Amino acid sequence: MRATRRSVVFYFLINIVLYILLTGFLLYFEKQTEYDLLSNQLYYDNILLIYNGGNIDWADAGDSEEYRVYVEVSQNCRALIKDTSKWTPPMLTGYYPGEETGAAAVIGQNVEKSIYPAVNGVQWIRLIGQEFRVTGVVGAEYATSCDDLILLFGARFEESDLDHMIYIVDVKTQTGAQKIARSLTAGYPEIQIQPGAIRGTARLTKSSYFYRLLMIELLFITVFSVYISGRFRHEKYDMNYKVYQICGLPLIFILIRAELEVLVINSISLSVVSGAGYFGGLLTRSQLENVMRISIGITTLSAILEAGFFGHQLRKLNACDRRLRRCGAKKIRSERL
Amino acid sequence: MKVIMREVLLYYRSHKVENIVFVCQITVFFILMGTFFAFTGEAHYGKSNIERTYKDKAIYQLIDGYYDPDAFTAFRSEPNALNILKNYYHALMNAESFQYLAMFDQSITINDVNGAADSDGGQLKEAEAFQMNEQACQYFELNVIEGRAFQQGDFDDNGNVMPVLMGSSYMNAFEVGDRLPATYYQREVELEIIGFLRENTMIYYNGNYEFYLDQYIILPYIHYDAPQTESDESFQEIVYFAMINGYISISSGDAHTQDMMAEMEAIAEKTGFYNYVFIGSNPNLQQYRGLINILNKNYDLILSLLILSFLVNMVTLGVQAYMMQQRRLRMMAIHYLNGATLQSLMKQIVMEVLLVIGLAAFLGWNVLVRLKISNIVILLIFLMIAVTFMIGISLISICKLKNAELMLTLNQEDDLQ
Repeated sequence: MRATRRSVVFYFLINIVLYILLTGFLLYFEKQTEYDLLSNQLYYDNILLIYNGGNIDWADAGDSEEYRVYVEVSQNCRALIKDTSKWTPPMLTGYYPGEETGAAAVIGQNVEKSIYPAVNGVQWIRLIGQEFRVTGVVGAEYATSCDDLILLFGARFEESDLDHMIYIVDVKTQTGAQKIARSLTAGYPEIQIQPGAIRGTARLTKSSYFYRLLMIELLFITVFSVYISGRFRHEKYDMNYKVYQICGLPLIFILIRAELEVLVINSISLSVVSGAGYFGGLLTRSQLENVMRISIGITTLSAILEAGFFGHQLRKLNACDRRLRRCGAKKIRSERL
Repeated sequence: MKVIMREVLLYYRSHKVENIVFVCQITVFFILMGTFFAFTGEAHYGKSNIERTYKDKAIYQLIDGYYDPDAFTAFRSEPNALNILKNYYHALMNAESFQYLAMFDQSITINDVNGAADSDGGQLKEAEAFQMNEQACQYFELNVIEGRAFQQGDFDDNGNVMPVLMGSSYMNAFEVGDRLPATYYQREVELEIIGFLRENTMIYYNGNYEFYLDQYIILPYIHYDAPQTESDESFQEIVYFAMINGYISISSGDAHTQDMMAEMEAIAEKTGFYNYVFIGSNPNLQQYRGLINILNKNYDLILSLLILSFLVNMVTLGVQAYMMQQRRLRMMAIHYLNGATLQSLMKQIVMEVLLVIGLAAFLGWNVLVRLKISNIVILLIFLMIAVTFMIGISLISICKLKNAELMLTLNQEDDLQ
């Protein structure tokens, strides 16, 4: 019994450790994405530069991928003309206009210093001959590469101006970018598409590549850890199962008991880690939801493995019975009682 | 030893699945650590590269003032125009208070016979090229992944053969030693590939502190001897005009700026080239500070995840190794009962641990080599982790074995007899 209790403690410990690692990765991913955006003028890793794209009807360009389309006004200024994602940049103050209609702008910290002061609490910025209401400041507490940036919303352009301007399509995934490029080239043969240069941490540290690699490795390490710890926990119960069977308890009861134990240990481990993370201010609500999702995956895997170990154990017992019968034993296990 | 090996093999055979999974787990642990170290290495390289180039530095862009085509033609028609340009350039190169970095992105036409540079077909291709002088190459510390970097002799006039470095995007298209006929400022030259730049090599150019050279062919700014023909002279004038448009790097601070300005005036006086202008001066490099902030934070973030991952995985693996060995103790005690010595049992434990961890480290290293993220530092770290792990598990197991209840009972019985 002591050994059994100790194996539960070990199982609990390994679960805690796995949840800490997975939560750490989750936190890391959000932070890395933020750094990649802040050091790449708020672009993702997949940018398409479209030249001669004045004729493109962006309303028909499709919404299946998550992307944003900008018109480049200058090196540090761009106007949003389409957004199929629910994306918001890291905001220092104020808010990101998103779906809001009307001329609005979000600006970097350095731009804030140079625009004229607020009138009745509202700041305005004048660009491309239009006035834009400043709704917020993008960036972080520290200096970043997007401190000189200006994002415009609801900007109006003359059709003749659009012919000479560069469209920038910012796509979250590489496959999405390829799909959009293919569909635009098929629909508008006159346009030229070039991949935009990636800058900042995404390029200098190859973060996307390493992140993908680390995630795959973490997945494997989690599966192996769950397998080995589950196997040892199961082995410690080996004798108990035999006793239960001899006592005539139905097999399904033994299995349900084992599965319930897996569920309880996982729930406690999850509560400890997520509770500490949430109340310690490390995890936000959405991150907490992601941790829950991960825990469902781990618990399901543990439960499936437990059933597998149980089935394996049963096969071994049945084989043992058959051997005993062959040797002439009339009564076996419960019959002996 | 034979008996021990047989015992070890018997143990592995009877616990195939657990041992295979355990080896896989340790292999993935090694790969994870290797990936982390490579990732940390990349982050550190990016950070230190930027810091080395821009920290406490002020960079000024220096150009000639001949915007007006007539003034430019008038200057070139002067009999000693080329000498003035050459003297001015060499004075800039030998300045004491600043470093002169001549850089320009004049494209070239290459006669790509194999069509390797572009898949569009056709032989004559406009290729993105970037010219740099020796000081600029040294300043930005251009690192190569294959071949060699520029040497002093590469900046001397070697006739029509011009050594070039290729950006990393050309890695699969050309090889070191390949020669490409090209046209450089309307002169036929032969480009000899001497190396390939490391991926994401970047420099400061045109106000952009992250100007990547991956797509460029890097040409050295050659110090030409006296021209033999008129066309030679014309060619050299154009090249030297390009060479005197570059960047001046000094240490931050007003005193350094004043020294630089004073020396520039002295150079103009000495060489007779007065028409120079500073544009787009960027003494504070604000944007650099934004990037370096994020790079520092990013590096700390990766490092903390590496430490967390290492500790957490060590706990997991340690607990699992402990549980595995715990199960073996009964068997070991039976061997002891049957006459095995404590020493041979210890050897068996060490052998088991050695085989599992050695195999895992070997497999992990092979995967990293295939992923192309292996290097000597990672190999050393691998060895260190593997040895620590082996010693740790072996010592714990041996201690456990010595203090096992059954062993103690057997020893007591021996003593009584």
